[in-house]
Amino acid sequence: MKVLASLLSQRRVAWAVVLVVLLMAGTSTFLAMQVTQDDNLLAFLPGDDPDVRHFQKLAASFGGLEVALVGLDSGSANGVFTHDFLSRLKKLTADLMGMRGLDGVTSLDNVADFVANEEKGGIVTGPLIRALPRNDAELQALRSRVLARDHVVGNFVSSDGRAALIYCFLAQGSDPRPTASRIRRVVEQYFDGRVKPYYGGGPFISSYIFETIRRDMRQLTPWAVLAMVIVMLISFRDWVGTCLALLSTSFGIVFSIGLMAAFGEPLNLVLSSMPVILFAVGSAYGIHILARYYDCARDPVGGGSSEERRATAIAATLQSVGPTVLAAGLTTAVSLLSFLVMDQRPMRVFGLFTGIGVLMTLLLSVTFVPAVLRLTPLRGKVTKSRIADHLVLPFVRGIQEHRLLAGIVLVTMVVAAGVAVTRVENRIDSTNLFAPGSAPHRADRFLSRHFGGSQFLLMHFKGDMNDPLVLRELTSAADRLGQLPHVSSVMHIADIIARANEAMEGPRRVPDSVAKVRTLHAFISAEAGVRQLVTADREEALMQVKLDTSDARELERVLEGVEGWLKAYAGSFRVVSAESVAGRARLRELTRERMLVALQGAGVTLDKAQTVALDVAFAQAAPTLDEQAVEGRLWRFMRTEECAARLPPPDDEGDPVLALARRLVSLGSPSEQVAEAWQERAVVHIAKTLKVAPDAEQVEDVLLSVQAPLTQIFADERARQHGHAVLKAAGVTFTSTQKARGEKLVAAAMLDLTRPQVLLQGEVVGGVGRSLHGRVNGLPVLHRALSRSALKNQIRSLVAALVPVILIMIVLFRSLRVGLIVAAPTFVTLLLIYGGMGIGGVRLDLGTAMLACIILGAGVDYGVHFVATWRGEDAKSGACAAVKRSGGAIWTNALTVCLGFFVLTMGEARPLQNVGGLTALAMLVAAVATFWTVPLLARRGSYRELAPNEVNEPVNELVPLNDLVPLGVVGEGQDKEAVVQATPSGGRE
Amino acid sequence: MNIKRNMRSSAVVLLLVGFFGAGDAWADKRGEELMACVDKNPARSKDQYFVYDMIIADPGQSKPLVLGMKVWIKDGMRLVHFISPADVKGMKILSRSRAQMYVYLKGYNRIRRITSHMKRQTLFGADYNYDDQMTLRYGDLYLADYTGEEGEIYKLKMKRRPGSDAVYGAIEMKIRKKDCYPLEMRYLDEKGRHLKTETRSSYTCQANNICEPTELKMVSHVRNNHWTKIVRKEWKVNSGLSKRLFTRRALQRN
Repeated sequence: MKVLASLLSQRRVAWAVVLVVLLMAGTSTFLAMQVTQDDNLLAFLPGDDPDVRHFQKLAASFGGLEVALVGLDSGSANGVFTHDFLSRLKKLTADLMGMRGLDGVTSLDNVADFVANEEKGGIVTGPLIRALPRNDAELQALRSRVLARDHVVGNFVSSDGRAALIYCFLAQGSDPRPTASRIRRVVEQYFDGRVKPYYGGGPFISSYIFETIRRDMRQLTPWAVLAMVIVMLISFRDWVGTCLALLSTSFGIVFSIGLMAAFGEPLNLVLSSMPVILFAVGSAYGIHILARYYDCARDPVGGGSSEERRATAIAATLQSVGPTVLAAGLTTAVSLLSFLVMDQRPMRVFGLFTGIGVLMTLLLSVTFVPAVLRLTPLRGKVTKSRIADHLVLPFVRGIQEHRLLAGIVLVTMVVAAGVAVTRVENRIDSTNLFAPGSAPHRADRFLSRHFGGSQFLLMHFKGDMNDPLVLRELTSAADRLGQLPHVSSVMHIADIIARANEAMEGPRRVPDSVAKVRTLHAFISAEAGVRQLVTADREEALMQVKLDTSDARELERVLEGVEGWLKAYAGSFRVVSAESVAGRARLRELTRERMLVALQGAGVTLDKAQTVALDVAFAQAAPTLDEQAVEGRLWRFMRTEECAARLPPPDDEGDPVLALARRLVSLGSPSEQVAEAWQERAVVHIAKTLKVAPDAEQVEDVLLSVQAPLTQIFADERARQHGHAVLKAAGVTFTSTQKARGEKLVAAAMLDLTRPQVLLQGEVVGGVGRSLHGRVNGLPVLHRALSRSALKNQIRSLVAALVPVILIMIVLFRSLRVGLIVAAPTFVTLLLIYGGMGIGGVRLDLGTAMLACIILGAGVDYGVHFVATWRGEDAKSGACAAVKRSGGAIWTNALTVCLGFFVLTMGEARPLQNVGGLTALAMLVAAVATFWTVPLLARRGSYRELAPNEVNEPVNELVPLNDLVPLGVVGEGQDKEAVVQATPSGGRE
Repeated sequence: MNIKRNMRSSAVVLLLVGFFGAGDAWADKRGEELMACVDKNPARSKDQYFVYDMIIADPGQSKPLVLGMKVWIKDGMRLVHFISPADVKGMKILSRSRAQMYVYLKGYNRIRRITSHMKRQTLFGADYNYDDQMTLRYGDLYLADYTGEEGEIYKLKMKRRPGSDAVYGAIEMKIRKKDCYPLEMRYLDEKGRHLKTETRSSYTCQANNICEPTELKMVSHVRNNHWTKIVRKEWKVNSGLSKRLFTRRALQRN
C-alpha cells in the first residue's frame, strides 16, 4: 500500500492510471456490447445429479420434449362449437403450421381422424373438422362426433366444450423463447376479447421466467441505483465525489462484462442482477477512499503547495484506510467466488464474474479514484452523522452497560433462530418461479380444470418396442399407473400403436405379430409427438403421466407412489405359453385390467358386486360363437373395394357372395387349422359357389383376399361375444352414447385372451426372456434434484466462503479471536435470516441459496470497519470511537444496500422478490448485529495496530467520524470535544 | 336519370368483373403458356420405372433414415414398392388419384383402401407430403404469372387457383428455358411465407426429350431446414408396363 501510495502521489503516474483505465473502459464497453444472452433455464439444473443427467439424456433422445400449449377459453359451455370459434381456430392452426421453428401443430381443427368406409371398405382419413359447419344442425352433429372421440376429449377439447387446446411441437434446434413469443403474437391476432388464451408448457414457462426477470431487472435496476445514489448524496453531499465512486463501480461492471464477452461467456439470468449487487456493495470502496481523502486534504499534515498537499493526502488516505478497504473488498469477492463450488454452471459463472467485478471495483477504488483525486482539486463537504450520535451510540452503550441481559437476549434469539433454521424447507417447485395470479399460474389452473392437468411425470422404459409382448407389458404398466391418485391420463407408444392398429385392423389393441408392429411404427413415425414417445431405434420409450395437481406436496406423494411401484417392478420377464397355468392366469389378469380401463374410459364404474360377478364370468368359458355375425362381416368385406377379387353381383337366386361367405365361415378360422388344409377346402367351396374351375384366377384372388380378414373377423367376433357375455353377467350397461365405443373397447380387451404367449415378471433362468426396465423422471423429479442441489450448494458455498473470510480477518487483525469477533455479527445475521425463513415459510431455492454468500460478503464489511475503528483506552472508549468513525457509515451503507435490493421486490419475478426482500432485510439485521455483537464480545480498547501515518495524525483527524463513510464526516470543530473526552489519551491510540 | 342508371350499371358490371375475374386477372398469358409447357412433360412418356433412395435427415438424429423404393408410373397412377429398411420392406402403395390409395401391408397380409383428405400428411417424417408427390399437373391447381428470366431459366409465380384444393398458397418456380423442366420450387403459404424449397438437379434425358432429375431435395424451412433427398438409382422409360400392374389384384398378389 505504501508503494502504491507513493506512486499515485506522482502526477505522471496518476495520469497514466486514468488514461489506462479509460482505455480499458472503452475497450470493455465495446466488448460488453457484443455479449450474448443465454436464456436456457435447463442450464440451471445441477449437471452432476443423476436424475438431471437422465433428464438431459431423455431430452436429447426424445427430441427436446418441447411442446408449447395454447389453451383457449371460450367462456361458456359448448362455446368451442360455434362457427366463429371454429373458423378462427382453423385460421390460427393454418397460420401456426406455417410458422418457422415448429415441427407440427395439432388442434381440434386438424387432428387426424379416421372412419370406416362401410360401403367401399377401408378407412377415410382426414382432419376431424373437414368443413366448417354451416348451421346449428351441423354444429350439433360435429359436437357429437367430436365428443365421441375419447382421445380428443380432454386432450384437444374439454368435455363441456368450453375450452380448446393447441399443441405446438417445436422443431429440433428451435429457440423456445422467440418461438413462444411468435406463437403468442399469432394467437392474439385471432383470439382477443371474449376468448381468453392461456399459454402453458415448457417454452412459455421458461419464456415467462426469463422475460419477467429480464424486464424486472431492466426496469428496476435504474430505480435501485437511483435509490442508492440518493442515499449516498444525502449522506455525502458531494455530487462529484458520488459520481466518481459510481463511475469506478460502473467501470468495474463494464470490465467484468467485457471480460465475459472476451471469453465468449453469455449473460445468464442470474448475472442480470450483477449491476445491482456491484453498485450495492462495490460503491462503498470508492466512497471510503474519498471520505478519508477529504478528511486528509482538509487538514493536511505539513505545508507545501496545493499539489504537494494533495499528494500527501492521497498517501495518507491509502495507508490508513487502504488495508481495511482491501480486506472488506476481498471478503466480498471471496464470498462471491465461493459460488465456484456450486454444481450449477450459471451460478458458477455468476460467482466468478461478479467476484471479478468486485475485485475490479476494489482495484479501481485504490488506483483510479486516488489518481483522479491527485489530478483534480476536489474537496468534499462535511456533515455530521446524527444517526451515529443519536441512535447507534446509545444502543452500543446500552449493550455494554447491560452486557448480561444483551447476551442472554442475543443467545436466546440465536438459539431460537437455530431451531427455526431446521424448519427451512428445501423444496423447489413452480411456486418458487412464479407467483399465484401470474400468467403461468393461471395457465396451470386452466389446464388442470379443463384438460386434466399440466404436470407430467415421465416414465422412461428400455426394451424392444417392436415386440408385442413388451408393448403389452407397457400397456399394463400404464393401466396400473393410471389407477394411482392424481394420475389423470397416461400417454405411451403402445397406445398409439393400438390406435393405429384400430385403423388398420379394427380392434384398438397392440397387434400380436412383430411384423404388424413394425409396419405400424413406420406409419406413425411422421406423427407430431410420436418421437417424444419412442426413439428412432425403438429401444426406448417415454410414458407421459399427466397429473391433475401442481401442489408440491401432492406431487411428492405421487412420485413416492410411482417410485414404490417401480421398486416392486423387476423389469425382467420370462416368456411363457398362454397354455400354461401361470400363463393363463397372467393373461386373465392382464385382460381384466384392460377391461376395467376400457369400462372406465366409457364412463362405467363397477361396484363391488359387479366386480365379483365380472371375475366369476371371466373365469367361465367363452360362449359358443354365433357364426351368423361372422358371415355377415365377411360378406360385407367381400363387397368392398378392399377385396381384390372380382365377384358376381346378386342375381335372382340370391347373393352368391353371401353364399360364399357362409361356406367359408363353415370351414372355421384359417388360423386355427393347418393352412394348406383350409386352403384346399376353401378352393373347393369358392370354385363351386362362383361356378368356375378350381384353378381359375378368380378363386386364387378370393383366397388371397379373404384369409387374413376372415381370421381377424373370427377373433373379433369371439372376443366381442365373450365380452358381451361377461358384461351381461356383471350387469354392466352403457349409456346410449357410450355403448358402441364401450363395447368395441371391451371386445379389444377380450382379444388379449387369445394371445399365444405372455410375459411373467421374474428372472429368466434358461428360458426366453424380455426386459422392460423403467425409471421415473419429469418436472417433479427435477424439482427434487434442484432442492437437493440448493441445499448442497448452500452448504458447500458457505463453507468455501467462511474459511477464507475468517482467514482474511485473522491476517488483517493478526488474531484468531479478533477474526472471530469480526465475523460473529455475520454468523448471527445468517442464523436470524435463515431462522426467519423457517418461521416465515420461505423455502430454500436457487435464489435464496445465493443469500448466505451475499450476506457474508456484504455483512462482514460492517464488522471489519467497526472493529478496525475500535480504538480507545478501554472497551467503552473504543466502542465510542468506532461508532463515531464508522457507525453512521455502517447504517448508511446498510440502508443503501437495503433500498437497492428492496426495489427488486417491486417486480413480478418471484426469485427476485425473494432474494431482494431477504437481502434488504439481511443488511439491516447485519448492521444491528454488528452494533450488538461486537460491543458484547469486545473487551479491549483497540484491535488493530495503527499505520505509521495514523500514529502521527492530529487528534482532530482521528477523532472526527470521517474515517469511513460519507455520513461519518463531521464538521470542523464540531464534536471534537466529545470525541476527545471519549479518548482519554488525548485522541491518540 | 339515364346517365345515373348507366353509371350504376357500369359500376355493377365493374364490380362483377372485378369479383369473378380477379383470379384470372392475376395470371398472364406467358405464365400460363410456360406452366402448360411444364405440365406437358410428364405426358412425354407412356410409363416410367424408377429405383430411388429416399434419405430423410433430421438435424437431431445422427443417422438419417434411408428408404429404398421402386416406383412405377403410368397414366397418372403410381405404384410404390418399399424395398428397405426391414420395417417397411414389402409395403406397397397404389395411388390412383390425389385422394385415393390402396396400401398393401405385408405384416397384415391385406390391402387397405385409404381415402386421405390429409394432403399435408407425410410418410415416415419426410418433407415431401402426399400432395407434393401426387401433383403432376400444376395448371389444374394454380394460375401462373411470368416473373422474369435469368440466363437459361424462366421464372414463374404460381398462385392457387380460386376454388382449387392446392396445399400451397403459391409456388415460385424456376424452369429450364429449353424444355420447361423445373429446377427449383419455392413453396409459399397464403401469407407469402416461405415454407419449403425443392431443388431438382442433374437431369438426364432419354429419347423424346424425356428428362428426369437424378436428385431431388426438399428443405423444410418451417422445420428448421429439415430435409429429404430422393436419389435416383435406376430409371426406365416406356418399358411397356401393363395397366394390370396398377390394380388391387396385383397389389394383393405381390
